[in-house]
Amino acid sequence: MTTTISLATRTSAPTLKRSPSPWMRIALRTLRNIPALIGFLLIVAFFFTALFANFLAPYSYDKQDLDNIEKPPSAQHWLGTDSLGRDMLSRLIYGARSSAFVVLLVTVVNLALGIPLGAAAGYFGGWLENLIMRTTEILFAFPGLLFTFLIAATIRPAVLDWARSNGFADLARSGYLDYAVVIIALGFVGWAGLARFVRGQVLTVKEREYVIGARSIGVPTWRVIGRHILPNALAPIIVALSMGMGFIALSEGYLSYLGIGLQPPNPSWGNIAAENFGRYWRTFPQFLWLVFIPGLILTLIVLAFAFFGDALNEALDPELVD
Amino acid sequence: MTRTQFIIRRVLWIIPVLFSVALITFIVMHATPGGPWDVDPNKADRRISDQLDKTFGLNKPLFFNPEAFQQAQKEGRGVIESGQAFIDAQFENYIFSLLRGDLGPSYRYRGRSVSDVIFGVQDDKPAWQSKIGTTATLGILALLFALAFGIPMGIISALKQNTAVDYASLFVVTIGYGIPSFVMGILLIIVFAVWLGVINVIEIDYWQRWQSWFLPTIVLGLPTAAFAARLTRASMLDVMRSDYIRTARAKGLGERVVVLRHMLRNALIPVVTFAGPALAGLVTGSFIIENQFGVAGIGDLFVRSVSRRDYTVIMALTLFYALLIALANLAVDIIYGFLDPRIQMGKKEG
Repeated sequence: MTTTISLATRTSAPTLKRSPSPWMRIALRTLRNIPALIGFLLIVAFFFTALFANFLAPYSYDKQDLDNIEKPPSAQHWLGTDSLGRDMLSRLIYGARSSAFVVLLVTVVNLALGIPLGAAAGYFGGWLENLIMRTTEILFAFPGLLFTFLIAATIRPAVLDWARSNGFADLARSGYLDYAVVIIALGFVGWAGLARFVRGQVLTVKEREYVIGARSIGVPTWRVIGRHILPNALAPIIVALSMGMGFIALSEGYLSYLGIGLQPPNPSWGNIAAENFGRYWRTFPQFLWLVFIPGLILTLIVLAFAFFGDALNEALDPELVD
Repeated sequence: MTRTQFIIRRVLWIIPVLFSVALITFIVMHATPGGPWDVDPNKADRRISDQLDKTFGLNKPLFFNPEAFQQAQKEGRGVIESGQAFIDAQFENYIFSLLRGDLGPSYRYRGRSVSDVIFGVQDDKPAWQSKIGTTATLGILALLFALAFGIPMGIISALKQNTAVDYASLFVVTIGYGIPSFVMGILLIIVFAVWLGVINVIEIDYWQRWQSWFLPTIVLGLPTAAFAARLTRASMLDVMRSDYIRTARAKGLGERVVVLRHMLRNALIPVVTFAGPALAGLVTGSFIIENQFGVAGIGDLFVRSVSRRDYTVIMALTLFYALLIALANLAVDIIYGFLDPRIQMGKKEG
């Protein structure tokens, strides 16, 4: 973007002010909304914690301190320890890493499937559009999270079997394949919504003069889509992604809570809550924080993505100019 | 395209959708080695499980049976019989028995058919206590709760926009939207069952007492209530700014009449339309709450059947859910067509 300096209207300005780029303006308008700002900070903190979990966590997520089993918060263990003597704070911090990993990879899967398929459907139309759109309609008929549950539960043994018989026994034991299972299960249905959305965006942009102009001077199709159509449909896609990320984090929590997502000892907020709820609900109110802190964090992350997405959506609305 | 044509097309479209759902579910279910008999490896006897496989046709190939085809050819049978032999496989057999209205036998509920497991009731209990009746009861209660709670809240916060009341309701809506239902469930179980001790889930015939339904209804309905409140508020605000409301006020109608007769009637259209998909969402989404509160409905049955590899039950339930969702979406399309004649039938939405 070129900067525009209008001297005529800014006679009183002591210095020449650069007017911010459109993206900057949208960012500023979004973050002026207090809940969105808090949400944004939470999202940043979430990814920061996930990225630097090994530096931030005082202990490893599976290190047992056998002298301190089932201890309330202390200077040594800020959030206490669970029944195996594992540091709760460390488990929660590594839980952020698990959650962020799933959120990012499922988003990548959704993007990799949803954007090309949606753009192709919208741009080319015809039988291709029919095929892609009918496929998304079929995926929409599946009972959401329940079907994710079915996929995760059935492909998990298959994936583990495959890994064991192909010389990846260590990998199968490490639990990292559980991440793959969750990501496949959530990615399988997740892209359909994005593909429909991208198609709609492409359809609205497709008939604009600049696209017709680009086509008329012989710009190749892929370039028209990549350089002219998608960038102009980008902003609403980002909104959809932000809203989707909260949903992915929530779904991962549900799957792990039900025991078919990430498996202990790998930490996930869902399985931490489930593990400790099963063990401590009788001893109420002792050790309750082991159940509610992961639940509370998950709630906050879901809300953070929702608020940020909402505010971004409002900021992108051209009717509300500041 | 006329309206009738549009509706017929949409109804017929459900058939290939359900077929695809059946096919994909079938593939996913059989992606894992093993079957319904080898859940307990200590008890499974190879000879017995082979015999069981034979009885239920699970020893046949999944999709096509070229061996039987060649056998039939060798025996010199006709084209039709050879063709039948070729598709004498698990998937086709399931589809054909489904078309005859037979959901097949359950592999894990000994001696019971799938329709008996899903629709049947034990002893002489009322019909709503079947698995499907239980889930339907829970879903309808949750929907009623969501509408009874969400709509008034949305109306009030729209009428008192940007006041403390509006913000308070926004806060409740936010919590209801963001809190995962398993966390909400844990919270309520701990408060009511453990702390206050007013609920004892282990009781016999627990679900026959109406008080028992409070907690699962609230937990299941809360996100939907939050959504209904948001929808009502947005729709009310939209209507309040419209010209006919100004006209109604200008001709001196009382505030009551304006709100009740002019605003609500129009503002509630999207909310009412939303009720169908909301019910479908509640019924398909109830499995976590059923699992948590020990409600013996189809969600709980589905979760159990997945881990026990009860193929026919999984198939029947997935198809039921898919049909429910398809019908709800169909209803929305048709209702919108009737309510708003400006919507062109058959023209796909953007």
